[in-house]
Amino acid sequence: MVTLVTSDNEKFNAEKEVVERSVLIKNMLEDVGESDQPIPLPMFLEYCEHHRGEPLPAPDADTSQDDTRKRTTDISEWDQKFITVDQEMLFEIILAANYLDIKSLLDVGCKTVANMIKGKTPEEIRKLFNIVNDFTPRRRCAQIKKENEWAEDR
Amino acid sequence: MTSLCARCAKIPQIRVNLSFEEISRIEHDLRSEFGPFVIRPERAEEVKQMLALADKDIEDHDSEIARLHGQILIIEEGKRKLEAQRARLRALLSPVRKLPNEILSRIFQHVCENNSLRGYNAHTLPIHFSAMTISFVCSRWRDLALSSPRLWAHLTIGVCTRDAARELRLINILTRLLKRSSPLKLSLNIDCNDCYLREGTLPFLDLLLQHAHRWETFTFHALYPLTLYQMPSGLHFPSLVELNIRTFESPLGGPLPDLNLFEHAPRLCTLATTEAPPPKAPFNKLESLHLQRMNIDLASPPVLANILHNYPSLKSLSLEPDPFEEGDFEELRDPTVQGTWRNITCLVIEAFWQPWLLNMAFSSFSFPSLNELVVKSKCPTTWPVDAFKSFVTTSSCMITTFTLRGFTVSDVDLIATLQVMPSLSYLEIDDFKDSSSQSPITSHFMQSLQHQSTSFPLAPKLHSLRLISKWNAPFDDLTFISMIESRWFKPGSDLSAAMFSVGKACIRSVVLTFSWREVDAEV
Repeated sequence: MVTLVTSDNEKFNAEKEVVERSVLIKNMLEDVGESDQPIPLPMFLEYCEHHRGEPLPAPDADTSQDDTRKRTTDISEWDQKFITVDQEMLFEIILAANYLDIKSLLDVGCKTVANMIKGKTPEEIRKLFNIVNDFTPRRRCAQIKKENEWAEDR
Repeated sequence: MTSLCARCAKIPQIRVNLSFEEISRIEHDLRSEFGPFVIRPERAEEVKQMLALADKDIEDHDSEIARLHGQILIIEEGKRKLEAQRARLRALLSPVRKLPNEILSRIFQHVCENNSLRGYNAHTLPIHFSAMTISFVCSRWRDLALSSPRLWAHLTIGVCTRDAARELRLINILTRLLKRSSPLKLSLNIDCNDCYLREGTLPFLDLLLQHAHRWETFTFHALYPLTLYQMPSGLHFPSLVELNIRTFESPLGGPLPDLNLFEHAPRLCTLATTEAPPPKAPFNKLESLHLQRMNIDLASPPVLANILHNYPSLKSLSLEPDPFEEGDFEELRDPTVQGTWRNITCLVIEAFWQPWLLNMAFSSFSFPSLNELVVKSKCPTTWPVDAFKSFVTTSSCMITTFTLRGFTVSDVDLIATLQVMPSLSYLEIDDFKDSSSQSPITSHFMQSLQHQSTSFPLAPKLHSLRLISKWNAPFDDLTFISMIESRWFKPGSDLSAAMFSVGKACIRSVVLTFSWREVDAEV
């Protein structure tokens, strides 16, 4: 068993097999070895428990173009429910999954954001994520010119 | 800026303020039933003076209204500025800003799986061209998009009519996209299904062919074959791994010659086509073959055996007959053709209504390494349970993934089917299209899946279950819930641990789909 401590000092016990879905924790456990010292990290036990026993993705699975060719934004039902949170929490999960190196969770988070973007116009995307259109007037002119290229043969 | 307060605002002085008596008098004078009315000269002078003053009053009010309109405009402009500032302040706290570029790029890659130029002749920016949309959101997203060639490397192009101006625009856009995606490999999907051109060239295709060395996947769905469009010969496709060609008509009435265009594609391993490819390089190294719209000659055991013989590296075979092909298994059956093909791990049979295809595949071949079987029928067809059981026994295969869609099967036959697949981890049953017979998803079927502490249930290693049921079939909700509860994975529970220890698996994913069915709220 491994003891995990959240940032607000709550302690959780979890099986090594479960928490090793995080490559960061796996490496920490390998470096530190058997120890009673608790490992500080946020709560991801639920996700790791659910995916216990599933094969871990290859370390460089997301870097080859072969992998991206087969990429799909389908998310399993359970993962979809797990990731149905407000925007702030969603991005926190993504950042934490990146920090803890839990590739499958990072992938679920990124796919969720991708699905939110798909099919929307630039203005709708700005509104969704509170993004300011910061193109300089010159750049905006170039953008309008470019957009007009799509409308040349009205 | 003047305050909006009504007390402090400048109120125009009213010079003409008629009393009630004065108004009554005017009304009286105006009434027509009293006949002609001649105003007295001194009264006329008085009225004229009042008119002049009233004109001045109205002018003053117009000026005041204009002043207030001006103030409203100033305030509205102020509000717009405040809103813009608020948006900037909100943007500062926007959670998306926290994401580092590497994660944002990862998200963009998911968004840009398919950049569609189908609507390239639309009047506005096509929002389905995801990479372009992303690049117009803000400076950071644009810089990131332009510095990520991968986002521009997946293209779907739809062509319907020949129009010189539109073709020129498509060429211009494609030139830019090909430059942005350089030097990465390309994934191209060309849809000419609505294009009735039977001759000439497709200029955009000529442009894409200049980048033939970058093609990694190429899909061409059209009425007419590629060779009709003056394709040059001797082309080399050193990166091509996946090819999908589906054309509906050969102008010469003979075999489609398109595959010969890809004879210099040494890395080709996945092919979907309407005809068997020539048994020579690079096709003899194929690992996955999908025969679409096969004719009956292609579906006969000797021909299929020949195909399997010609492509010894084949691991995945998908058979999809022409929807209008008819056939008789007894006529097709050739008792001398029996073959064992050890490399095949995945078999997909997608028939329209032709039951002979399944009988032929199950009776003529054995696939000892088969672990994934997908059988689909677009029209209700009886599931050949005995032929299947015999096939699994002969093959001695360990099927882990099984999909049965559109077949008529009883619960008893379905149970018998699953009994020969003890290693099953994924099961999908879809009987939605068959409204004429009873659904196999009965209480008896669900009870057979129920976990028993003393014995092994049906499909003991089941991990994922997907059931799609027809709208009018009775469904035993309580038995279903009880069955799922008995096998559901509960972290840390003794039952889950016990199941693991004896080689059983817990269900982790269930999808149940009904249409037009009311579910009891208590359930």
